[in-house]
Amino acid sequence: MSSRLIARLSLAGLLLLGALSLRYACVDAGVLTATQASELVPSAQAPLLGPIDEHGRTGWLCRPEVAASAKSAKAAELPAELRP
Amino acid sequence: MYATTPAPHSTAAATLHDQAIAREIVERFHIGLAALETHRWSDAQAEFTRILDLHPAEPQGSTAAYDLGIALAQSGRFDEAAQSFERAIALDPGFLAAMANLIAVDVSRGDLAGARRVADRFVARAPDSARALYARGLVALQTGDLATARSDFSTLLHNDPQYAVAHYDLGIIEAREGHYDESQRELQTALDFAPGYARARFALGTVLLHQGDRAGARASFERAAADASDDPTLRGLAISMRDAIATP
Repeated sequence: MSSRLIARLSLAGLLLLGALSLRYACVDAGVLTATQASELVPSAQAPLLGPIDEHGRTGWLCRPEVAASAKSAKAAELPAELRP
Repeated sequence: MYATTPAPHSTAAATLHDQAIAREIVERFHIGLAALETHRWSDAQAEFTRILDLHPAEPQGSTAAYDLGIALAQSGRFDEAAQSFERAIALDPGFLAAMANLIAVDVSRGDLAGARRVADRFVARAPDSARALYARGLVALQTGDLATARSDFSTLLHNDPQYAVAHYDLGIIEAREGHYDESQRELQTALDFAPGYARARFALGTVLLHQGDRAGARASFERAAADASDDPTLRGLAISMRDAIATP
């Protein structure tokens, strides 16, 4: 095999490698841009607290008012982790 | 002959009128609440509006305004719902549930500045309230106030360390600031507490991709797609990401 042929094959290999790397980079750049811009979204807002009867919010165990002041996420009726 | 003297009954016209009004208010509360229970929003609105027209004393005035706000919000009338919750808070400035719902309605109608003002009041009134911290944290995150968002979600987690959603939001905050190691840690913690949390798994994949861990990212997207069976949009995105990484 002549040295000229080896040089040509090497050049072709380098070009192919370069093209593949470029494609890799383009895929990643597109993917990263898309996810950064739109997909890393915050969790959903909490649902509305429920209605209150004619006795009002104070003086008894009013569930919505208790939820509004609760320290734990569950007692506060915040979104569960499976449906952010 | 009576064993005891019967209680005197007032026959004064004004007193009888007041008693009739009081009975009507209670009855309309019952009808309105039943309407809310069965999703008949217009019927509920009519009952609570009528109660407010009768000018009830507290706590029935603020409560009727609050219930009317719920009925209006449920039918998509967010501007009127906000006015109703504001009325409830004006009548009862310590009404935390009304503040919580007003924030939700303000966010729904795109008034993030209004939501933030109410959220600040809510947190000031109830600094340990998970609802207050969560609501303000989300509004702060949506408006780019990452310092407040981080502080609120951190306080929420101090009170409830296993709440995976707050870990997820902290992970988002760290990612937005380019702190990918911290972001990865928070997202992994969220997944430790909730392994099936598909959106956190998806976010983790994105962060791993940023960090150059292609295999880890691909595995995360694969798992996110599997866990997002009830969320076709997220599932589709996760599959696209996985395939994009797999195809050089």
